[in-house]
Amino acid sequence: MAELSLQNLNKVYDNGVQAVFDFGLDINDGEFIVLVGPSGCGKSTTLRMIAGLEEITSGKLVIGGRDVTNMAAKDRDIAMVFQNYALYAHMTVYENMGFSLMLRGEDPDETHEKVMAAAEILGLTDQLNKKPKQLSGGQRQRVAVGRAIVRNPKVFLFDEPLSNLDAKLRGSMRRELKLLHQRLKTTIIYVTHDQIEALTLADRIVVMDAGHVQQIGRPIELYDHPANLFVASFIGLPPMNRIPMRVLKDGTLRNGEVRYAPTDAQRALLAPYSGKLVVMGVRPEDMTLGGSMQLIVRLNENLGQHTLVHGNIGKKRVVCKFMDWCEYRPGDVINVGIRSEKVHFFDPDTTNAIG
Amino acid sequence: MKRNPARMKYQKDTRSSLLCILSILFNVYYFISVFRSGNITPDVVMGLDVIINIVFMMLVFLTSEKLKAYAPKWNRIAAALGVFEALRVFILPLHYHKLGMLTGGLYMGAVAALLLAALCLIGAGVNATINGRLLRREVKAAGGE
Repeated sequence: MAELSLQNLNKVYDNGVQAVFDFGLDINDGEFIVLVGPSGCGKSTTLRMIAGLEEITSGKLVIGGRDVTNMAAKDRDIAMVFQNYALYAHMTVYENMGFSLMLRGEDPDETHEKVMAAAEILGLTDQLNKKPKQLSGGQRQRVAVGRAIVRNPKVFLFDEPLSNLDAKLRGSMRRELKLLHQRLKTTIIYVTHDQIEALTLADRIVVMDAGHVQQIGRPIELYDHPANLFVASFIGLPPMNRIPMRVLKDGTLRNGEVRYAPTDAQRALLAPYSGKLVVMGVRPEDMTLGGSMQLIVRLNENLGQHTLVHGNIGKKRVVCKFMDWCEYRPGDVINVGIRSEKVHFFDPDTTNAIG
Repeated sequence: MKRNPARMKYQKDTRSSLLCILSILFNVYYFISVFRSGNITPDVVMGLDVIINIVFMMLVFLTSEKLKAYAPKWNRIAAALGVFEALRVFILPLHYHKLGMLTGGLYMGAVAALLLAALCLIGAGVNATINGRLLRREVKAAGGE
């Protein structure tokens, strides 16, 4: 079994910089966890602490019931796949994949069986005698994954493995990783700054910012119920429209030309904020055509199956996503509305979601 | 000695290669043990042996690299070099032994080193022959060239 328990992990470097603050997470066996966040948020540092490549300043790490907090990386029974593949350039694909088993002193025939099995899974059987420099980026990444698979570890750790690949290859590798997880059913912890990877791959996502955990949850939970403004802006493409609105005495919200009449449930939530400012969050896809507000178009982006319309409602810039081919020109005025059930509210001081 | 032809397709023949390298080391020992004898007077035979030694070691090193890659025919070259190495006992060591310049332990050491080097090379040749046949059979069975 490969459950993990990360208990109050902190990482403070020698120069006093704290990279990770009080990271806590329980991971179930076979779960696919994605740590996502902007560059410098501490996700890779957290991963490296799990791997044993960084010392844990304080806190406890338990893998499969064993306290591995102070255990050497080689004894933790984990396998890591790096962003830059980290393949041995002088070895063939076969040798790269079998090297760790050879170092462990495993029987050469068993090593051969494991390497061949992994090569079969990853479609590398015809590449086994090639050197890394003879391979494409995607093939190299598959060799790196294969090198991890042969070890049959308790936990796989992936540190932005698709970052060096082009967009098309990233898409196909993402699907391969998803299928691999379904096949192997091993616990995976995956670090990325790409929210698309996070949303498509994860059983649960951990959103991080500046060393702090912002929210942990299933992709749909983060998308539909972001815990704060950071998560709301980070998850979703294009980012959520965030509009400061004043809660009027009659319960409606207003900011210049932007007006919104909340539902009864929303009124009740916003009652404590009467007369005050709140941040109203509306995803571009939750803006509708034909409402009561007037949008002056600045830019029309056709993306095939949908159109992104950038414009102003009064002085406020918003982005709308319409599931049609639209051909608005700059200066056009269109009526837009908001889907009430999809509106989010945030406290402007704490940035936390209201309700 | 366990051989797995399926593995051979992806691994080098390091055993044959290492036997060749070992023969070079024995050859170096032979060379040193001859010069350790303070009685040796350099002559034409020694000059010839020095040249043979240099060429021999280069050839053996090349053979070790070829055997590593299962190159055909080099198993025979390895065996031939081994026979040649054994015959070298009758060139320099015996020549200086008859002249009384290389005697006792040094003479026996030099001869032993040459014979051990020869044995390693013949062993490399035999090993490479067996491995080569197994590998070709495996490749043929898998439908390769």
